[in-house]
Amino acid sequence: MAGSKIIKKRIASVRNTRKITRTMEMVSTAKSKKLVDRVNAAQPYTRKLHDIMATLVEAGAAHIDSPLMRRKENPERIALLVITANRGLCGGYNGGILRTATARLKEIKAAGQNLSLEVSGKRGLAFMKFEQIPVDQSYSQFEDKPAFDDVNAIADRYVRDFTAGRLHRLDVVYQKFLSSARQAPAVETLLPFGDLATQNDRTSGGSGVDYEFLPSPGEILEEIVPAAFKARFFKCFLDAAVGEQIARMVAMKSATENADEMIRDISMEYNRARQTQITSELAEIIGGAAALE
Amino acid sequence: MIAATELRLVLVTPEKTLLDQSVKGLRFPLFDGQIGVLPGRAPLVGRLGTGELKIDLPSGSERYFIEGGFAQIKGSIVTLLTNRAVTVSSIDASAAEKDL
Repeated sequence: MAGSKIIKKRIASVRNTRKITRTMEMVSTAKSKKLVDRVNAAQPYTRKLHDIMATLVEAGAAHIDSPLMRRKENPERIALLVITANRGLCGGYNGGILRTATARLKEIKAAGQNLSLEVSGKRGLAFMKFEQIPVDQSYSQFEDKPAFDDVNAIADRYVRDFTAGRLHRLDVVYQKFLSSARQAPAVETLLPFGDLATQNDRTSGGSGVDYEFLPSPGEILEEIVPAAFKARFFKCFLDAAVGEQIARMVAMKSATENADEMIRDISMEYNRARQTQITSELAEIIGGAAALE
Repeated sequence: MIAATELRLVLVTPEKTLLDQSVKGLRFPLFDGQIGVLPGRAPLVGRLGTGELKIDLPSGSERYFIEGGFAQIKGSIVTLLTNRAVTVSSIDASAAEKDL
C-alpha cells in the first residue's frame, strides 16, 4: 500500500532532522559551558577594578571629573549598539533583542535625537535591512569567542568620540547574562559612565589600609574610568555570546523533543495503517475462500 | 617582628586570570619607571606603564610584556590588572615590527 510507504519516508526524514538538532544541541552545550567559564574568568578583573576604585574614592578622590562621566543636559547624538547573533536557530534570542532595540529606536526617534545605529551580527543586519532602517556601522566579525582586543578597538572609538563631544550617549542592547538559567534582553547606557560611588556602596575592601598612591588618587581614577568602561563593554559582548549559545541549546533541546514526539505519533500512524492493510488482505482471502466453497 | 617572607602575584587581564602564584620578588613598570617589589612591601595603588614584568621564582625567573593597567599591593598580595600580558618568549620580534 502506498500510504504506509509515505509514512515510512516521513519517519526517516523526521529522524534525520532529530539527529541534526540533537548534534546542534550538544555542540552549543559544549560551547556555552566554555563561555560561562570565560565569563567567570573575566570577573576577577572587574571585581579588582572596583576594589581599587573603592580604595581611591575612600582616599578622597570622590569628586573626580572624568570626561567619560560628564552628562550632557540634552543629549543629541546617541549611538545605539545592538548585539545580535550571526546565526539563527536559537529560538527567541535574536527576536527578543531586536524587539527591545526597536522599542528603544522609536523612543529615540520620538525624542527627535540624532541617532547612529550600529549593529553587530548578521541576524540583526538582515532584520534592519528588511525593516529598511539605515545602519551606520555594522560588525559581523564577532563569532562565539569575542576577543578583548577586537572589542577594545570599538570601545576605543567610543571613548574618543565621547571625549571629543561627537557622541553624547551610548546605549547597548544585548542579552544580559543573569545566571546560566536566566538571560534577558537589556538596554544599558554605558556612556556617560555611571556613578562610581553608588557602585561601590557594598565594597568596604580597602578600609583600614594606608595605601601609597602612585601617582595621586585622582590621576589614577582618571585612568581607571576608561578601563572600567572597557571591561563593561567587553562583558556585554561576552554575555551576548553566552546568551546565544544557551538560547540555541534550549531551542535545539525542545526541537529534539518535538522530533521524538513526532516520531512516536507517526510510528503509531504507520502501525495503524499496516494493521488496516493486513486486516483488509485477510478479509479478501477469507472472502475469496468463501466464494470458492 | 618577623619580616614577611610571603609574596603572592595575581596577574589579571580582562579575559582571565593569567597567574596566581607565590613569588620571591618581581619588577614591573609603573607610569614613571620600574618598581621592584619584595615581600613585606607597604600597601600601594599605582598606574602601570608599558614594559617588562619580571618575576623571580624559586626555580628561576619569568618575563612578561604588559601593557598599561593598574597595580595594587595589599598585604602579601600583588595584583596587576593589565589589558594585555604575553610571555616574552612568545613575542615574535619581526611580527611586532610589522604591527608597528
